[in-house]
Amino acid sequence: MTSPPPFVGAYPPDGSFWVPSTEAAKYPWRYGDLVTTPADAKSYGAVDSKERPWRALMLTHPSCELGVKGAPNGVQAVRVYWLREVSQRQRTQVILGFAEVNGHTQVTRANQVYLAPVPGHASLGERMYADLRQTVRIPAEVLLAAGRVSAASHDARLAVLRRDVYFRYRWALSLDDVLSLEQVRIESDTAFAGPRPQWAAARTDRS
Amino acid sequence: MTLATFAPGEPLERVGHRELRDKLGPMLEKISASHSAVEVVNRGRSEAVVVSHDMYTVLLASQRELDDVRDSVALLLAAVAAGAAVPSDTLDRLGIIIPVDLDALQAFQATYPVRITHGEDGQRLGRTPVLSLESYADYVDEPDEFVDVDE
Repeated sequence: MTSPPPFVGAYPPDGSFWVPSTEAAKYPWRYGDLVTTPADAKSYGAVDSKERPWRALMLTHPSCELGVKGAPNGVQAVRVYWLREVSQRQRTQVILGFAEVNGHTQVTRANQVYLAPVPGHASLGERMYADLRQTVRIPAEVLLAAGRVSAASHDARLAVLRRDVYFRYRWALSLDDVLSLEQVRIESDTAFAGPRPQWAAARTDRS
Repeated sequence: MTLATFAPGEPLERVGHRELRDKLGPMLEKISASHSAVEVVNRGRSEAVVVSHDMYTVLLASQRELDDVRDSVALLLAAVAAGAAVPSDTLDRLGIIIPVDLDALQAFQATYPVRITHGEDGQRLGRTPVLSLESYADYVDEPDEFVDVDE
């Protein structure tokens, strides 16, 4: 590892969460990216109980299918909320991912993933969270037309993966566990597209 | 069973090596049944304490609880110092209210390595097994002969 991620907690600092917009074009669409809700959101169930479109979507689809394989059955994504839509107590629980209960540190809001504000964005320039329980599948071409709001940094993706794994399987992996898995995966991937994370340079010892 | 079985300040029953050897079976049965403990001495010097398995389990769990509390006290002190409003039953009970500053909280969590001890439903989390990644690279690339059922 050449340079570790700039965080040791549940999430990177807000300033390291998203790829700067000036560099985003270099990064292919990946799991964890923030995407605009399509105009015809209702067709895909991406609307609230009053039929208003969700604030945005976070991609939970496997990154590899967002590229050459084309996600033939639609791209999986989850609902994004503004953090201010929930109580003050819940906001703190989402930001931390845990609470102290009777001397223990206990996971809270396992289905909710904190998302940092997108700098300069009119409606998503504030704290948000994604709800892993509220899923939709939307054709890739529809999402491509709607556009990506922001690309998750490699560091943020570690945090989202860790949260998702706990939510789905109750595997309480440490940040180091997830980092090691991603490091090996990316270092070994000779076809890795876009800039690599600083902590996973390309391996040169493959036979 | 609780640690109260050990009365603080009350001396333990003591046995010497020879007595322990001669009465091992009955003594172990007694320890197991009464959840008590016996101190093993050799020439007047204490060498070991024999406890029932149940009591040993309780002692281990108590040590783990103590480790948790030690970690969470350190966490809460650090959070208070940083002005980070960590949601906390303990702080609530003590009436300590930290004004919520989400910027401070987000910055704090990024830099403080928290060991999560319990799952969302309150159950203690086990240790993650050490992963062996040595052969992982062999499986990264899909062999061409795999059939993709989606196509």
